[in-house]
Amino acid sequence: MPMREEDKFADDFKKALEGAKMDPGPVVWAEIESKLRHRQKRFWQGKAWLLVILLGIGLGLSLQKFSSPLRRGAAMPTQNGKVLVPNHSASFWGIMTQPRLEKHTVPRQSQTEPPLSFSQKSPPPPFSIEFRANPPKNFSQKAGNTFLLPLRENSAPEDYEKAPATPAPSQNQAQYLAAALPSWGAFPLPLSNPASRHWPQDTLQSPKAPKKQSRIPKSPWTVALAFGYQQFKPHLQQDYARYLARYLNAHQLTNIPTEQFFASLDEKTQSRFSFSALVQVAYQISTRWQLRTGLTYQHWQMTQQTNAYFIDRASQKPYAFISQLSAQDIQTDNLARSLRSLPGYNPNGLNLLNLNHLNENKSLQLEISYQYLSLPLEVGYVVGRHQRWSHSLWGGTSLDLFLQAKYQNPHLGSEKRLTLLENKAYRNVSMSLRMAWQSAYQLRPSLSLYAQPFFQQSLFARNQSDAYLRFAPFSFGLEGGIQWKF
Amino acid sequence: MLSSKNSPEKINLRECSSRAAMRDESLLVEGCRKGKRRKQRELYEHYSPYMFAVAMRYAPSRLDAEDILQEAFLKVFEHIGTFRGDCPLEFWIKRIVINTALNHNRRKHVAYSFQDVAEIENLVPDVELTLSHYNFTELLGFVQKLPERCRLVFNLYAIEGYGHREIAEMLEITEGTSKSQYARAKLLLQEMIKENERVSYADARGR
Repeated sequence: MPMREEDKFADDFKKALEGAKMDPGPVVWAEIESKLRHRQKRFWQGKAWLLVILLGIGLGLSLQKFSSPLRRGAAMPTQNGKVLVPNHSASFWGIMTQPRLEKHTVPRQSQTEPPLSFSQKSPPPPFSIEFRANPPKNFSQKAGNTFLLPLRENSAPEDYEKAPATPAPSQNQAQYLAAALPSWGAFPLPLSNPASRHWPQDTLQSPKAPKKQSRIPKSPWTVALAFGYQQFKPHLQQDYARYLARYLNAHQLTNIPTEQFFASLDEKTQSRFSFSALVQVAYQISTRWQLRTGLTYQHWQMTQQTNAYFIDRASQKPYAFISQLSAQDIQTDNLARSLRSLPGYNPNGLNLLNLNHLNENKSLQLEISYQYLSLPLEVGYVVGRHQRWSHSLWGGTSLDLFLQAKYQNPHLGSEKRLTLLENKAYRNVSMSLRMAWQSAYQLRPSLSLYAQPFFQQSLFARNQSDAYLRFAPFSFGLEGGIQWKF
Repeated sequence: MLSSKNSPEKINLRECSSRAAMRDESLLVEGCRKGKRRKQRELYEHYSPYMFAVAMRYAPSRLDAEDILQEAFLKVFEHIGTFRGDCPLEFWIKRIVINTALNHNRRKHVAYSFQDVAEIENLVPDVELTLSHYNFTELLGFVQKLPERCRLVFNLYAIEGYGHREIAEMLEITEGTSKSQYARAKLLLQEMIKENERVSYADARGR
């Protein structure tokens, strides 16, 4: 440290001020503790989400692995004890990209081993099967019983036209294929193809095989309608103690035993039936990635109950803090009316109310509902597909527009509405973070049903005043709906 | 002959108590590292009165000081893993409190608009003022009444003992500005003290 000049004045101050101690009061620790608890909670929540995501990805990858026809091919015995395992880089209903054919030798366990789980009645195929999405132009027929099977996507009939005709399968082979192919997502050659002329028509009418193939949707757009149920936690108490402490300090209400007050403060908020209704439009960017937006109407309901009162040390009378801020006055409607007539009434803050004077010492109960219109923007990743099921992970943000808040006091039978135009207590626009896991079941190629558990967290307080109650709710829920693909 | 002050028994007792304090401190730190709430509370209760007085010197009001203290202790608990023990824990915490106070002020006033008031430095009369009859609260009140930037520089220079060059680096100002702000703080404090003495004298005469 550089040499400092002699300064008696500074030294005197230093002697007087350094090493002094002051009591910060109980509120600071209470707040530190609450924030530590909150951080700890968020830490565990973060870990839980990470675990869910990792499990989701793992599940998706395993689904993808097991849903591949390659896997099934590997279990198929052939005449010479070898199986042909086509190694495709995409799942059976995905776009077939680089199909390669690799030979693997799998030891045969038994001659009578059942072929596959999809049809126990089907006899073991006495032939090998080769999958080719895009057969090469110089394709030549292999020796033995080899079938060329175009897959659902990327099948190119014109390529087939150029390929030499495949020999007709035997009755057993044809039955086997008819039963097996739909579950593999593959189709026999179209009847218009010269190669299929030799196929026995009746064997293609398997009960499992679709008689008529629907139009396969090509457009990347999807529209969805859904309805959801959610549970939300409003985080109302976070800064309550702080707010009251500030008020006490500002008004120098030193005779109030704040420790006792905070110790006996028992504010409960309970979520009631809350729901959302949404219309969404999704755009498929690639086979895996999607974007979606739309409109969501959210209706949150909760009950707030508090015993916010204390005993004044000087007078030994019970007092309550009654807030006159914004719409909270409905909470104590008749009390507030009496309060206004009292001397020293503060219309813009908390007021001390002698409960004995008003003969009112019941806990205060308030039913609150919030209505928001949200505009979400989310990115989705298709984690896995298995037969008709598709699973994806969604994440993004949502802009939430405040529509209305309604306050009801069931005890007093009073009600107050706070609409967008007259609202001063809440931010008109706030933002949330959303994450969801979607599982969709394809009823038809263009129609799916889906369900998605989701988590939503407000990014900042939805009410205007940072010093007052912090309303930054998070919610868990389940949405279910229907999707159309164009 | 050894004086009683330096007797081996006394030294041993002092060493023992210092070792015990260090052991207690390291146990406290270890507990906080593990996130034990009881240890965190013990640490808070032990150091908060002293740190609150520090925060009060940097803040214009008690509420701001509470904010600073709260934020500082949250940082302490978050970063206690980085405390290596090469300085007393008290200094480490105090440094965090001071940094938090500076950040707090920086946030409130987006940018410091320190004006060079070098001319004031020459005008500060070298007045002999006795502060011995003022208590801590009164002196703290004077410091809190100082303008924001003067208060920061005065605290850092006069109380914490930083040099003007260090203060200039900390507050991202020039060394000259630091000196002139300190001179201004000194002048204002002297005026306040004189005014206070004048009022007290008038009150006494009035009685």
